[in-house]
Amino acid sequence: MQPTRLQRLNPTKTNLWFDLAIFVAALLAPAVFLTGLTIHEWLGIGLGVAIIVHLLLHWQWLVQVTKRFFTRLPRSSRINYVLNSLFFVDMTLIVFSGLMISRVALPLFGIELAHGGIWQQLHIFASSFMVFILALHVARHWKWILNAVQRYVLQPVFRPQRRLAVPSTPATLNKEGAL
Amino acid sequence: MKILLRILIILAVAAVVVGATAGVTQLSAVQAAMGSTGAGHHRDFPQASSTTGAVSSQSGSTALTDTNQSSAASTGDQPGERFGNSRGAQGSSLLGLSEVLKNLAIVAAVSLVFVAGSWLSHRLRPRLTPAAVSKAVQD
Repeated sequence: MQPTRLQRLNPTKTNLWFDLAIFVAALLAPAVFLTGLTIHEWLGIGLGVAIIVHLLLHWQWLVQVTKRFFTRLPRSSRINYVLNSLFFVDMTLIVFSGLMISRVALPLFGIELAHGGIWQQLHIFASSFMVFILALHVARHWKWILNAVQRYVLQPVFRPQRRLAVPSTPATLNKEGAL
Repeated sequence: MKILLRILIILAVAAVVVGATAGVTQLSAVQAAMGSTGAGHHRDFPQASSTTGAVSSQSGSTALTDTNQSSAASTGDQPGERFGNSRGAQGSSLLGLSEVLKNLAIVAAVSLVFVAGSWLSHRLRPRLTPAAVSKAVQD
């Protein structure tokens, strides 16, 4: 059976470009003075969708670690799991509180909610907290990021002839799948 | 079908988080605490209901006086208008850019500390010689 186009995609490469896009969006989204409120709100909603896709891409790791969380599990995986859970909770709060105080996206569909108040404070607090969790998330995966950038960004640009020697499915890079 | 089920699981967990948060925010103690700490403390954008006031960053590094908050907040596309002068858009962009750079600096700093910490712990870890390993196995 012929593999489909999606199956032929290199998972590490897909993860790298997708995560890079999420990272840039997560840096831009809090800067409402740079983007404007309209882009800020739609970027935030897009970020929420992107987080779901990110979780789907790492579903195997998620299931494996959830199953083994209270039994035998390497300490680094346990820390990553707790950190990622915090990240998910924080992103959920940011997106939801953002929707609650939305002035552009929801009114477009005729939904007008009360602005300000506790949801606005929660939105601000959660987005400030998000930057630190994002930083820790990046720091915890810096080796993977470094290797992937070297292999899929730097090598093809600076040494394209060596690309042929690189195996198409780099199992060593795909640390997310392994515990 | 499998993906749909997974998405539903993720959304269900998110709903639990939102439900718990909504429950907590209903507590009068939390409302009082948030009200006392957060009154007039808006980092990102001005209140739609107010017509005049100050927009301040959460870190307290920026404070902008604004006379047209309502109109700027309702459109949201031209944040520069909030500054009420011809250099508004430029100032607004600079403020936004500084926020992006600040976030990037936080990520870089935390990553550097983490990398340095892991490198140091790797360097300081006592290395076992083959003889020590065989002795440990025998013990």
